[in-house]
Amino acid sequence: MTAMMGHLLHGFARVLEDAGYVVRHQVIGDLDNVLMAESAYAIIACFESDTWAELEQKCYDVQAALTQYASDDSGPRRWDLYVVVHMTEPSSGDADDAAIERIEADTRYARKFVRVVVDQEDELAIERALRPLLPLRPRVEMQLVDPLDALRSELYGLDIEHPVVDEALESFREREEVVVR
Amino acid sequence: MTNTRIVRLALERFRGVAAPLSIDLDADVVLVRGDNGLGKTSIVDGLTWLTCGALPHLADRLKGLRRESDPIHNTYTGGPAKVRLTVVHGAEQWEFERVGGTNSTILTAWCDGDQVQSAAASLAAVFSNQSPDALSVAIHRFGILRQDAILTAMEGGAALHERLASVVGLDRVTGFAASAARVAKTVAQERKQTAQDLEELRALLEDADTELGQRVQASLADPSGKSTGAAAVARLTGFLPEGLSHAEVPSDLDGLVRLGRTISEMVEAVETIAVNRSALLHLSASSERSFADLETQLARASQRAEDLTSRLPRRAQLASVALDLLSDQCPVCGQPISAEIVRAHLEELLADARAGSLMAAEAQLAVGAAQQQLEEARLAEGRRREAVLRLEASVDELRGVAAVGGIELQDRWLEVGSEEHLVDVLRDYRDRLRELHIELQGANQAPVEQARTRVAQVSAQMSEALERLAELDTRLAKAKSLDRASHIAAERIVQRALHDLEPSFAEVFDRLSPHPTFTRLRARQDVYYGHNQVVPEVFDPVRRIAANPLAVYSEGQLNVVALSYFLGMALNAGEGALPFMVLDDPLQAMDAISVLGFADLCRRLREGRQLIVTTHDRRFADILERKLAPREASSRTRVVELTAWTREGPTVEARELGTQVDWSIGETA
Repeated sequence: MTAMMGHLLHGFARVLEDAGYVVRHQVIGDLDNVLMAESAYAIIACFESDTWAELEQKCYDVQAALTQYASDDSGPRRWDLYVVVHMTEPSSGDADDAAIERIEADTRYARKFVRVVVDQEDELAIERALRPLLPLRPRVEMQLVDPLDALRSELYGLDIEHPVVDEALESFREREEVVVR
Repeated sequence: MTNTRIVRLALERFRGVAAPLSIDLDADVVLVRGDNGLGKTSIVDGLTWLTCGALPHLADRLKGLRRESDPIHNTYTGGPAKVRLTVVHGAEQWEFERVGGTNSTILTAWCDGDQVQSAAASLAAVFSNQSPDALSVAIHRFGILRQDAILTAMEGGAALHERLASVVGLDRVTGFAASAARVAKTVAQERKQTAQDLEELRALLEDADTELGQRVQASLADPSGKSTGAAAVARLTGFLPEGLSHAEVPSDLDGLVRLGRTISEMVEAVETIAVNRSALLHLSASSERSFADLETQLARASQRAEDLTSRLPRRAQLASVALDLLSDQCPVCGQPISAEIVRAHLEELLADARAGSLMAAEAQLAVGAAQQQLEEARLAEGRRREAVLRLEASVDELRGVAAVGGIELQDRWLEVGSEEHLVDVLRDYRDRLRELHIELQGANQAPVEQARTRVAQVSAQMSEALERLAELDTRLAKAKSLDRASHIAAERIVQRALHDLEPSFAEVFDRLSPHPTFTRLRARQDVYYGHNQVVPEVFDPVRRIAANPLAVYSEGQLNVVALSYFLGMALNAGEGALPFMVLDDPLQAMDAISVLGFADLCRRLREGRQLIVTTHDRRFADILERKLAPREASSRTRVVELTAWTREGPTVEARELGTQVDWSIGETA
C-alpha cells in the first residue's frame, strides 16, 4: 500500500508538538516539505520519500541542511541532530533493507531513523516511529485492584470446587499460606 | 530536583575502599566514570549494602568456597566496614550509617542531626517503602540495575517471572500458586508416608497374627509345660469309653471347644433317643397285648348278636300269629286241642322271644364296645409306628452329630437300654474336656492374651491409618486440583499483565532499536515442567515471526533487551517505587547506535528520579556528559571520575557540569 505523500508529516508534527517541540515546515533543496522540530535538547528534520533509489541522497541533503542550520546555534544541541525519513513505498528487498542499515548506522552529524510505510491513521504507529524523540509515557495503569480477587474470579471459572477456592484464598490472605482440608 | 535524593555516600574499610572516601552525589544525574578496577562497583555495592544490609550477588559468587576473609571488609584494613549515606527528604536531611560485615551489621539513623529509633524502618520510609524487606526487594528489582543480574534473570524464565509478577503487583498471585503447589506436595508426601505406614502396619498385623497362632498352638502343644502334644492327645483319647473314638484330635483350644459342643449335642440326641425309645416301648406293650384279642372278641360278639337278632323275630311273629288264630280246634287238621295249654305255650314262647331280644340288644352293645376297643388299638398302633420313626430319626441325629464332630460311635451304644449309660459317659467326657480346656487356657493365657492384645492394637492402628489415608486421598485430590487451577489462573492473570506491560517494554526497546527486523519486544507466559515462566520474545512485524532473543540476538542486542525489561518494569513500579535509579555499567557490548539511543533515553529517565549511571566506556561517558548536561536552570549534573586506584582506594575527581541554556528556537534559521 502506498501512503499519501505529506500526510504523515502532519501526524509527526502533531505528536512532536505535543511532546514539547516547536515545529515548522520548510523547503530544503528539492524537498518542498521538511518538518523541522526543535526543543532544548534536539533539532529534528522529518521528510517523506517515495523513491528508494534517491533515499540516501535525500537523507544526506537534509542532513547537510540540518547541520548547516545547527551550526549557527551556539548551544550544545547543535550536536543533537536527528533526521527522520518516512518511506511511503515498502522495501522491495535486501537492497532497500541494506540502504536503511547504511543510513541508520552512519551517526556522523545526525542520528537518522528510516521508517517504512507508517499508517498515518494509526496514532500508536506514528508515536512508535518517533519514540526515541519523545518523553517517557506515563506509567501503565494496571486494572488489577486486588490480585487475590482476580485470582478468585479466574479460579471460579475453572474446574474446582468453590469452597476449596474460598478456604485456600482466605487462609492465604490471613497467613500467607494456602490451606486445604 | 526530586523531592528525595541521595546527596552523599561515604565509604570506609568497605570492599575496594580502605581509607575514608566521601562522594558528593547531590545532583539529578550523577555520571560515575572510570576504567575497570578503579572502584565503580565498590560505590554501587556500598549503596546496595547500606540499603539492604547484604550483598547477595557477592555471596552467590563465593558460594562453596572456603571463606578466608569477609568479602565485605577491605582486604588491606579488615573490618568493620562502614558506609554512610546522606539523603535529602523534603525539608529533612537524613544520615544512615551501616557498620559491620557479612554476618552482622548495625544500622544507625539521624534526622537533622538527631539520632532516631528504628533506623531500618526509617530508611525504608525515606525511600517510600513499607518495610526493610520491601525496600530490599525494590532495590534489587528496580532500584539498582546490575546488568549481569538482569541477564541472568532473563535466562532463567522463572526468575524473570517472579520479577515481573512483583513489579505488576502479582506476586500475591504467584505466591498463592506457589503455596498451593507446596500444599499439594506436602499432602502428597503425607499420603505417601501414611501409605508406607499402612504397609508396615499390615506386615506388623501379619506378624502379630502369626505370633498369636503360634502361641495358641504352643498352648495346646505344651500346656503348663506339664505334657507334650502327644500326651495331650493321649489324655483326650484316654477319656473316651470303649466304642467311642475321635476321627481327629483337636489341635487348638477352638477345636477343643468345638468338640465340647459336639459332645453336648450328642448328649441331647441320646436323651431324645431315650425318650423316644421309652415311648415306643410303652406303646408297643399295650398294642401287642390287646390288638388280636380285640379282633376275636369283636368277631364273636358280632356273630352272637347276629344269631340272636336273626332268630328272635321269626319265633315271636309265629307265636303272636298263633295266639290270634287260637281256638279249640287245630287250624291244620281240625282236631280238637287244648287251647289253654297251647296259649300258655305260645305265651311262654313270646316271653322267651322278648328275653332273646334283650340278649340280642346286649350282644349289639358288646359289638359296639369291641369295635371301639379295636379302633383305639389301631390308633395306638399308629402312634407306635410314629414313635418308631421318631426313634430312628433321633438315632440318625445322633449319628450325624457324632460324624460332624469327628466322633466315631459303635452300634452297641445304640442298643436298647444303653442310653442312660451313654449319656453318663458323654457327660463325663464333656466334663473332662472342660477341665482340659480350662487347664490349657489357663496355662498359656498370658502370652496368648498378649498376642491377642497386640493384634487388636495393630488392627486399631490400621483402621486409623486407613481412615487417615482416605482423608488424605480426598485432600490430595483437592490440593492437586487447586494446584493445577491456581497455576492456570496465575498464568492467565500474568499473561494479561504482560500484555499490559508491553508498552512499557517498548518504551525502552523502541528507543534503542537493536535489531533491523525483530523490532518489537514482548514477553510470553509459559508453563514448563509445572513452573510458570516468562519467556522473552521479539517479533518481526513485517514477516510476523516471533523468536526468543536469547536465540537470535547478539550479546549487545541481548543487553538492550535486558535493559528494556528492567527499565520497563522500573518505570511501572507503582507502590515501592524508588526516588533513584542506579545503572551499573549498562553498556555491555552495545553498538554505537544503541549507545546513542541509550544516552537519549537517560535524558528521559532523569525526569522524575535521581539517575546514577556508572560506565567504564569513555566514548559513552563523553556522550553522556554532553547529553546529560543540564539544559535548564533547575537541573544539576555531576561527574564523578575515578582516575586511579591504590591500596587506599579509588582516587576521585568530581565536578559539576554547567548549565547550558544558551539557545533559542528559530534564531539560527
